[in-house]
Amino acid sequence: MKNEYQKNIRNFCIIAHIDHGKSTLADRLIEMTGTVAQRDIKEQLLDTMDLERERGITIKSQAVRMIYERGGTAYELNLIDTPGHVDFTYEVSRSLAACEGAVLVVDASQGIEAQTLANVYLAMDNDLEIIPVINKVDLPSARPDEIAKEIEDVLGLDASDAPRISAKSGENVGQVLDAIVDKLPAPSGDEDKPLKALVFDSYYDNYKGAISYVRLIDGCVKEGTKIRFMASGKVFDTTEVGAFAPELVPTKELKAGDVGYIAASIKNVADTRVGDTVTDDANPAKEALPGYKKITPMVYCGIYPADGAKYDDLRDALEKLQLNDASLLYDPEVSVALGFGFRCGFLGLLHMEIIQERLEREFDLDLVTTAPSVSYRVRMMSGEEIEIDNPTNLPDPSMIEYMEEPIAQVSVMTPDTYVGAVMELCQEKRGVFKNMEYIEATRVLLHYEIPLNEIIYDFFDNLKSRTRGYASMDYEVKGYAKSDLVKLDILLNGEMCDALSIIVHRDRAYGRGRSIAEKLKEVIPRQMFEIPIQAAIGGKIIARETVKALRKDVLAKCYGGDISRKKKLLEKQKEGKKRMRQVGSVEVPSEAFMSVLKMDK
Amino acid sequence: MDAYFHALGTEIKMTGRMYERKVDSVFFGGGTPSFPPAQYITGAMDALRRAFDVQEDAEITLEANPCSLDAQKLREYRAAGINRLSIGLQAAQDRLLAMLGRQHTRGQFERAYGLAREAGFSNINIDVIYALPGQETTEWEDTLCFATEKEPEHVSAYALKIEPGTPLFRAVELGEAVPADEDTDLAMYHMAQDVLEGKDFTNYEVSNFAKEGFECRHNLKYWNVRDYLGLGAAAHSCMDHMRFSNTEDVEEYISNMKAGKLRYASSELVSEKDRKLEYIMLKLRLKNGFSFFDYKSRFNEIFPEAFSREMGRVVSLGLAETDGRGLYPTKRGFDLQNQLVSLLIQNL
Repeated sequence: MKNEYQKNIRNFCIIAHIDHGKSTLADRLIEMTGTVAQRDIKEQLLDTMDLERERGITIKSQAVRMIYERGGTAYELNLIDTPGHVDFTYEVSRSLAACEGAVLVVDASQGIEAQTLANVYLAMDNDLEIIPVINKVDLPSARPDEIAKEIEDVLGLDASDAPRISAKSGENVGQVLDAIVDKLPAPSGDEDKPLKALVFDSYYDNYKGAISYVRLIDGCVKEGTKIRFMASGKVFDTTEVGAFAPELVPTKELKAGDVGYIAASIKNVADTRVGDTVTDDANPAKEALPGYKKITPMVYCGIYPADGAKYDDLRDALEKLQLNDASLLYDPEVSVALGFGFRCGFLGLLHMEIIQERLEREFDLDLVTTAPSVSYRVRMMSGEEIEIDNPTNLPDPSMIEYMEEPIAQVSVMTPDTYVGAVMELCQEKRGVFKNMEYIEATRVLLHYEIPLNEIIYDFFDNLKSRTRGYASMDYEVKGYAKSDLVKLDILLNGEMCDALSIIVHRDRAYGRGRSIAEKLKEVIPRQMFEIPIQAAIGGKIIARETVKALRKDVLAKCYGGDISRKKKLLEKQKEGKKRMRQVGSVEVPSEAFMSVLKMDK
Repeated sequence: MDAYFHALGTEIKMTGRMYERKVDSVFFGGGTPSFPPAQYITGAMDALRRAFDVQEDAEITLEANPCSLDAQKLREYRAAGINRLSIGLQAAQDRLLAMLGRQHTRGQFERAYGLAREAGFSNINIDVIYALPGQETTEWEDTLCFATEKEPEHVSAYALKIEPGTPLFRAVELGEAVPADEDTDLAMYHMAQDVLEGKDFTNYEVSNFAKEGFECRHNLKYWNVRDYLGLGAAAHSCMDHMRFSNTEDVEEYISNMKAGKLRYASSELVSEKDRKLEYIMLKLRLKNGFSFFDYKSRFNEIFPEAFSREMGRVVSLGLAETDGRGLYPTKRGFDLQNQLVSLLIQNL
């Protein structure tokens, strides 16, 4: 019978909060199904980037095909690993849309967290069958019965026979595999219908071009099929299709229900966007799969080479990163203080940090980065509307009718003892209280609307420190709202430093001005003259600090045994000086441009 | 003690064979060479004369602690050929000496100094320290006057540096002592310059002052980037562009010498670039700076050409002066010597 083969396929993903054991469970599943030879097994198999392993997060989606025997039948289990961070919500939603089911991993002592909730709701929106799994039951602090009840109460899922496992030791992990086979529905596509495949990720290969990771809903695709991306309209000739083992293994064809990849000599990952639908150009589907969104960056910052001569290297590096990450945007810009660099757009703060770190590590670049900003909408007196993502470019206030800033819907989950602290924080950050729900007797979910520029400032660090790390959060940008915003400038020795300007709410300008001036006083080393640091709105000075002049700086004794040490010291200073930027007459260390963001208040 | 000086004798013998050099200065320092009986110093001098060509008019200095000196010892030092003494006064106030953990008092210094003159030492340096926690400016002035009244040929005035691991460092950490602030430090430095220059001393190096013709020949070797050979545990050397040092571990030093092995704890061949850096860093500690002729004879390049931008900057900032023949630090260049050097070597 046609389509019969699908009954032995299970497509699923794993949903978990950071540190609840998603990657470890994936490792065990791969291991137990013998997908990867023992000698090739390393921790967190699916997290291929060093950065992913170190931070314990998944940045890029990955997929792996496993064969598992149950009751004498061989099943093909396709695990689609999803990124685990709020910045990548859209990517997560597309990965979920490629599956019929999800394994929900909940830590047996931590319980459900804000992010878990967000992802479970996403899975429910996609009509996924969810298998709850309670992990880390071998820890002394484990309380699996309570957690099972929490899953039932909060998520409305039946957790009575949820596998209680230790992904680390492998205890009861077999039950998870059984449940995947028994409980998750098989795909129910039709291989005779026109091709419809969902792109859930892409990756750039130097030889094969951009490779689309796809889930086939209907139809089939093989070498030679002329494929069309329905959102972009671009057409390509398929050069290869295959499965994930987890490395790419070419196969004859991909059919409805399959998870695999398509290579089609695509030059640019931007042509194979996540969420797009692939169809057969000769026999196209009537309509694309739902849910495609063109993603727009939420957070912007300036990235400059610490050494101006490395500008070309930085551009090449950004170009290479963008090959694999269509959500990274960059445009050249020039700063008086920092010289030539790029204004870059990111999905969120984590995305920004990851890109910065990859530039520094993988491309060995020293960077100067400016404080992140969001994109503001400015309504001009002339009626024109412009978007501003670099505070320096804000027009003169007299030309502005009003401004709008992005607003995020924020949900914070916290033990009830910290509700007061969380509310205080949200209030300070100009948050508007929406509602509050009790998840269980002692845990609360708070909903707020908070301007995005307050969230990217230091919200997360603050939340963690005020709740001793117990609170978790999730946010999504919901729209724009009018706001009384001003541009705050910083003057060093009387000269404005464009790279330090920020846009801030009028009510918070004084506080921010003061704390930035204080912070700069700490990070700018004393120089041979006194340096006034001023914060100003328009022409008005609102805060002032002074870096005192360096008056004596000499080594008292320098004899035979002191020379090598002194020389090393000088060399270190020299290296430090290289990381300095000349702002007018003042030398400013690279960190200063970013450190104004990290306030400890 | 015996074992150590025996080892030192071995090292002298071995290095003497390696370096056939004329020696015109010897310096017994690095701690308190005046503590052991004088015979050890005599023995070491004899060994040096046997192994090296020690010049007739060589400057031979011994660092001495006031409470370890007596008339007999001083006579033996003279007999051994020591012709320059460096005595640590540090401060003229017993309360500050106690705070520094020094064994001697103002009175003991006075006695020791008198004995040294009586024994015939006509070239004496006095060490003094300023910027001590809790030190009053008037106390520093008193120390300077006390020292100059003795009419030494040479004065070394050092700003105190509180090193990690010392009792004073811990006291500061515990809040029991407050380090002098930079303004006080600078005011005391300038006071030393004023007082000493008023008594015809020349501030020939950042921390060193001498009557004409009494600049320390030995120490000038460091600042003029000449070769020097360090002997004994923890001693540093620089010979033919090689920098090397002996182990700081006395036991290890002794056993190395017993085995007849010159084994260095560190050694590096100084690169051309580093030699320039060292040259600038050391020469600019001297009031006389350096001449472009000397620079060219060493590095075969014309300094004002190779460093035109950097030189322009330090001169315009008032850190150094030039007459077209050389570069000389100003007083401000002494105050901010690190900045002066940093600016010059920025693009090296």
